[in-house]
Amino acid sequence: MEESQLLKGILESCILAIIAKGETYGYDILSTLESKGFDNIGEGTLYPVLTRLEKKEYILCRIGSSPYGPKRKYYTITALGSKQLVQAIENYKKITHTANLILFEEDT
Amino acid sequence: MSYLDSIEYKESKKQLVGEYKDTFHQIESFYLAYDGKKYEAILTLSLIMDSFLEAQASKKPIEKITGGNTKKYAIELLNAEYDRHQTKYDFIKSIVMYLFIILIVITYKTFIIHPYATDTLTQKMNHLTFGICECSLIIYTLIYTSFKKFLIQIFYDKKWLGKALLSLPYICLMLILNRFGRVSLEDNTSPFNIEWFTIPFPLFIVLFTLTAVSLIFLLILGKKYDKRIELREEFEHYQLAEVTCLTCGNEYDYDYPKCPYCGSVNESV
Repeated sequence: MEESQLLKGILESCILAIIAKGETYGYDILSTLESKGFDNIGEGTLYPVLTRLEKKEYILCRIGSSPYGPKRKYYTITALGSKQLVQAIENYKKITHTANLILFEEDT
Repeated sequence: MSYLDSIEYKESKKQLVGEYKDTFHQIESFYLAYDGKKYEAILTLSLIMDSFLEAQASKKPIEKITGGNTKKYAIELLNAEYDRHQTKYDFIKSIVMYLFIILIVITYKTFIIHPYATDTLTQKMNHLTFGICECSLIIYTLIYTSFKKFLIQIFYDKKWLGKALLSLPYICLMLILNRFGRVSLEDNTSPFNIEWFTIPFPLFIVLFTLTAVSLIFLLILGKKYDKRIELREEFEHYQLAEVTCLTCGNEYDYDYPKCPYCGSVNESV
């Protein structure tokens, strides 16, 4: 399986988890993702995910001013988003546990 | 006035240098060529500028933001912004607007064009069936929308050519209407012998009432569900990036050192 396909499923939850830590914006999310090792994600990938999350009402977006002058979009998590994040973490744990059992099973 | 002409926007743009400045100018001219000054394009430009300024300040290479493909980056961001404002309200709005257009066509053909008009153009129009007019309109809208998407992808670097080609669907529509008009005029019959546009008066009244009520509802619902309202409010009331010359009274760009009309010094610089 290609890395991008594997990433697609998990990226939404990772972004939701970053937003859950407090109000943030696109570039900041990108920097956090990069610092954790997701270094090949650009804004072209990030913004469609943010739009999806907003449409599902998992996050809220407000337009404010940036210290550099232009407009900036700030994101916060909603109650529904927090609930979804808990669910996503549970699902992820379950899936990775099962996958690990199969992928790293040692023949005895 | 547009946010793009504001001091805030122009001052922020001035801060960009090197590859950030060049790439931003490229994206800006691309957006303005295809989407004019739509709020979605304006907001996306503002977001891109903010990211570029922050990345520039932290000395990041531009590829970290754009992913190395400026065209793809520009299109993806703009599409995400359009998608963000697309709601069920927009679907209802397009249906109501379409109903409104149908009503205008019916009114025009039923009450305005006189069947025995002597003017050639009026006669041609009169012989066009309502069905042909309506089908042409739908086909034109479909072709125009998909053609625009296609041209944006192909002519990212040759915007003038893309814009010129974008007028093709309109020319085709005019040719189709003209052709059917001529055929009808010569034969004095309808092209498909279908007279769909003869609407009984009670039906016209129903359609008129339905459209009027829908438009009123749309106006009321729009305040709550039209997500573009928030954008419009965001980008209104900006100070124009111009100053008025104290000597001659003419207006010119706020950052010119001298008035281009009389040469007086711009004291605000």
